[in-house]
Amino acid sequence: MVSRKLVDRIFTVSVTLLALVAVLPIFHIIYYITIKGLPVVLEGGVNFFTQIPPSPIRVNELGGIAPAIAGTLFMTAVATVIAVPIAVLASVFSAEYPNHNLTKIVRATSRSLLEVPTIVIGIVVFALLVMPFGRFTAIAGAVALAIVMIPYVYTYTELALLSVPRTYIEAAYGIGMKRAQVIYMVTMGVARRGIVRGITIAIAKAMGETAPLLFTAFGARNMIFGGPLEPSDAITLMIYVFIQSPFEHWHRIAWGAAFLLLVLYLTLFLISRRLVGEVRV
Amino acid sequence: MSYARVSSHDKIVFYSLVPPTLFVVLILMTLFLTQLYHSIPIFDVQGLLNTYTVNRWYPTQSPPELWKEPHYGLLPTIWGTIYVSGIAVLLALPLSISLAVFIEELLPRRFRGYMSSLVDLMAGTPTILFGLWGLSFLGPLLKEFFMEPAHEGLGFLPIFSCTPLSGTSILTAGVMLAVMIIPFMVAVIQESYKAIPVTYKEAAWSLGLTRFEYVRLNLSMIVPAIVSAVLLGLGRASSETAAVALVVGNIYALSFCMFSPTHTLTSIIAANFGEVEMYPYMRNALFAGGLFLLTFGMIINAMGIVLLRRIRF
Repeated sequence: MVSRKLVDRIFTVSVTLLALVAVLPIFHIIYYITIKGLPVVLEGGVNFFTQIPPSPIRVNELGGIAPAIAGTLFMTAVATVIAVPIAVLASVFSAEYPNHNLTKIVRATSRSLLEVPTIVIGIVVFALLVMPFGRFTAIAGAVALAIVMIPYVYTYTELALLSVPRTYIEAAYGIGMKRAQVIYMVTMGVARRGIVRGITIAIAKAMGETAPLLFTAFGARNMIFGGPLEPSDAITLMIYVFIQSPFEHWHRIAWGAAFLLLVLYLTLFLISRRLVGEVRV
Repeated sequence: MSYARVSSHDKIVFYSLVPPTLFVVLILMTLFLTQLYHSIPIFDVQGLLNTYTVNRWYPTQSPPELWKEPHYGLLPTIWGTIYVSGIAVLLALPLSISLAVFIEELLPRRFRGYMSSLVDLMAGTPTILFGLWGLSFLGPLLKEFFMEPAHEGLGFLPIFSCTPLSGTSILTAGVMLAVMIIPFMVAVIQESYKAIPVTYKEAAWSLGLTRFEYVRLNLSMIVPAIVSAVLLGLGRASSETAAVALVVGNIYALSFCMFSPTHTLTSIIAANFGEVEMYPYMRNALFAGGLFLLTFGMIINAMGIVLLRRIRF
């Protein structure tokens, strides 16, 4: 009997240790990016957010990451505008007609889209929107990000819509509301926090993507923002390029940009936590 | 739709929702068909089988009529993807099972919500941040404290046989990916673990089992979910791009030694796609790589879903 207890003790200790090992890296990543990035942002001050990065030869200048911030804001915003209506309407379809064949197909599709490598999305958008026009554009980057976002918005919205109590919906029909009114005023009204939560998670995802932008938005850092039909930078893209460059001061800019990305992500994450996914009655 | 009477209003609602829904389906088909369309030229020129089984990558501007042998083989990148993802899953599996069990069985109830939030936080973290950490911290750490000692002490083993030249290697990418896929694997395992009926759990406790025996019994009931988590982890690990491209070394080489740099299917696309204008068929070869990833990703994904459905309580 002693050996059974001993095995149990060893089991408890090792599970606890392994669980700690599993979560330790995320704490270290947050810590490491903060100690490397925060001093850079503090040193740059306001300029870090408003200026363009220096050329590689100007080693004493820190400059800023304004093109990356502008590009990320623009492309994420446009991607949201494209993705949300499509994904929300598709999830309304799934929630309203749960037994329809198209619902089964779109559910399976969305699950597959979640697993599609984002670099694949990037090169397909390259083939469809960059090759024909012969130029990298911010719009192409936004379309690629929209494809990344759609399955997230779809999944969370459907979950939120399905969690609306039947009694609310039946009551709405009972007072003579039409189907469209029930959907848009009652079901979506009750589920709105869950829908917004899904959108927030999707935005956080899109904002943190690098691969879909490599060959669509491509990057441009000589001005803050050239317009939707010009190549565009993004925070992730800039980190990816700068950290691989041989220039020490570009590495520092990459760390500063990484810290900003981390702060943006943590903010969106906290917002999504405050929005409860399912309807509480 | 089998409603006895459908009003015209309902029809309008139905038909107005069909286009966006179809559009989502069309996106996936477009992704697949575009890849296929752009892959076909390279299959025509050097053969489908050769594209995936040849260990040779010589970008060339000469027309394909002059090619003596295939120029664009993806074999080392497929191997690289398997190797890197395999290491990631092997490391992540025990950690993920432990974390899931820890949250469900050992952690006091009031802390469970925070721990689950932490897992969600890990899952959504921008992947480039993992890559940055892998490149500047994890790689050098592994090189100094694992790769070099292992090479000196156990260099006779093929997997440790090559001299570690830098922190970027198959091993570094595998360890970094393990960290990245843990939250996804934990989510799958934890969800199934939670779904085990309370009556089963109470019956298990009533036998006087120790906690170890109890957890082992519970885990044995959700083996399909654990396999499914492995498949999901493999899918996630093989499709990650930017973070992997930062730490995998980006060298076209077929290697069994885990200290060697390599290319994965995703990193070769990221590293070479910018130069496709110069080499006429390289773009098609890279699309063929994407096609392979997409196809196998979907097969793995479908297998995972089928497995999860097999769990019935």
